Amino acid sequence: MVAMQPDKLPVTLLTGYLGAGKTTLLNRILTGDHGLRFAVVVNEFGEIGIDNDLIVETEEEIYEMNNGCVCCTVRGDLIEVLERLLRQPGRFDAIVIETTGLADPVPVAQTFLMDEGARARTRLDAVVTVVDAKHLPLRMKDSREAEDQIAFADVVLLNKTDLVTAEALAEVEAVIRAVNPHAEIHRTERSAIQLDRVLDRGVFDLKRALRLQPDLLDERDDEHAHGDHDCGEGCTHEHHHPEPARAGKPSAIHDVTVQSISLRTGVLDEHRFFPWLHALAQQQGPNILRMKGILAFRGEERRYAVQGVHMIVEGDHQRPWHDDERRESRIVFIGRGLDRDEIARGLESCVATEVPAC
Amino acid sequence: MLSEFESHCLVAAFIGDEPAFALADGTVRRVGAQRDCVRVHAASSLAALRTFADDALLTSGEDGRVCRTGADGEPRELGCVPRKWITSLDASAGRLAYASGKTVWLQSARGDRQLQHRRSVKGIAFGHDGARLAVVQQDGVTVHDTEAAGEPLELASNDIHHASTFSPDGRFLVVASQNSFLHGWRLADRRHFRMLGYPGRVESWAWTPDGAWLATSGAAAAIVWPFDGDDGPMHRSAIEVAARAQSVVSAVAWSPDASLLAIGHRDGALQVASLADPRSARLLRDGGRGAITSIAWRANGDAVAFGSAAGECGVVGAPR
Repeated sequence: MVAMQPDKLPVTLLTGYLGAGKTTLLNRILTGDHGLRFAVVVNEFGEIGIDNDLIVETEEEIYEMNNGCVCCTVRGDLIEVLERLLRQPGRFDAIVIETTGLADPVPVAQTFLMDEGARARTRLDAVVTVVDAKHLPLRMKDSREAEDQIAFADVVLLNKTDLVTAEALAEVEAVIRAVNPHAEIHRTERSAIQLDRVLDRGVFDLKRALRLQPDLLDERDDEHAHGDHDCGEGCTHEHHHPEPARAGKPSAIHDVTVQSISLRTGVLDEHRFFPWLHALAQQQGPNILRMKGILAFRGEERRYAVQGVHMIVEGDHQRPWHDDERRESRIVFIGRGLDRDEIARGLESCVATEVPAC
Repeated sequence: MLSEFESHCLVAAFIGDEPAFALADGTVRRVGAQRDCVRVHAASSLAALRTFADDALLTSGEDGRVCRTGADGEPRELGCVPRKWITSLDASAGRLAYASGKTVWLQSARGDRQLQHRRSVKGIAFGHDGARLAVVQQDGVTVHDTEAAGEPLELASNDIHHASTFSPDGRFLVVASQNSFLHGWRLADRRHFRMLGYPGRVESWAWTPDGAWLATSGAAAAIVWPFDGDDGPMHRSAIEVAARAQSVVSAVAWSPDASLLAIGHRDGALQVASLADPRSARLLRDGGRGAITSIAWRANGDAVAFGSAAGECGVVGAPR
């Protein structure tokens, strides 16, 4: 395993409904003071111009992988475009993929997890979803895609906050939290945001991953106390941490069909855990939108990170556990129709049995 | 002779007897008696081919243009679709076709036509006489009659395709699938067959001029299928030519008299071998930085030009 792959181009996936403010965010990214050259891939040229030299229009083409699993889909158009874009090394520094309002983000993410060529030369950096504070409640009623895009997000821009009352905004944020307790939420007007909140997040990088997800790893403050906090020095922004008890609790908001199951347990036996996890991914793959975890294995000095999209699960060792860090395993499933109790029982059955200290 | 450019080589060719390379950065590089860099497309070329009929390189780019660059080194624009990426093109017998998105533009003596398709076009290929044009899409192939505007022939297949080629005699159409095999159709009765056993995608192929053999990339050896009988390769085996351990063939080209096959590998190696003695190959180049993407023989058969994905472009002698 290679820890650093500086040559891999970061890819930011931008999702959200038409009119939510994606193009505005995209133009902020492209014109930001960062010195980066971007290639932008869009499904269709919108009415609002995109301020960039290199814009590629593709038709969304979803391919099933030839492995018999209907949920293992990739975006064939992206594979082709990436292959062409990468023929001239050094031509640009990063890629932004903007999907149409109805596009399913899963095949895009799976392209970067499954396609050999894409994996070798690019890395999915983060899924950024822009939602319209005013219209989200309606979207949640009339479409599953809006919910999927939030469920799948690493970063949510709750945009157009100036168009709603404080109460309405709090309600919308609660809806987003109910769908996805683990995304970072940023309230914005006209998609105005510091670009380091949306770029170079590294959430799919197993070495970096999960430092960012407050509910998963930050035990409110202990992770901060170790200085292992990704915002860098001078971090003053609000993190919008979810309420500790929220995860896994059924939402009172009736439009929410996605559930999030956060589990915590002790040190695991990897010889039991992996067969269990792979069996779960096989059986429940279509129901699992995202899965993330930091695990402690018996006899292993390093933390182990796992992540998954549907049936695709990948994992790698991270840094060693700190001496004063509690060795425990935490894992989160976001999906539909998942049986929390059964998954919890399964995970508990993987807990390593005590071995006498010598 | 080796030149190292900073860009993927799309096509290696001889124009006249002089080597020329179409690169993905939108240039054509000439490295023979005349050494220069011809800027053909603004930022990037997406597709390129050598036309034998008029001894030139055709290229298409992100700038929406289709250009011809001949021995004089002066690019000439043949077509333009502003703001569209022209991702594939082909030319044959006085006809030119190029594609972007779902549309194919066809130019011929009978005038220009636009051909619309259900899905994005992955690749286009004329038959030898230019009378037919195969348009590959994700879920099948549309075969147009370039002489008459009528209903095209639709060959459906629930696979993912990226390229097609007609046999020189026009009897067979072969289509490459992303899932590492070739589909074939005998066009007379649309009998369908598959050519299996590749570990990877077939990215390059070459017919002998008589249409008897189709050499293909995608395996550790060049895989050469017999197409000489009525049934083509059906119920017959391919010949494996010049296997190279730990590598995969990425480009193939027959010598002008079809007695030798030049074989380029992912590891940058270049070999020549013959069907008569497929086990013994001669090594012309022992690897490089990038996969060989294109090979061309000089008309007299004494040298091959090659280009790689890392921009290495060269000419090596191929003595008998």
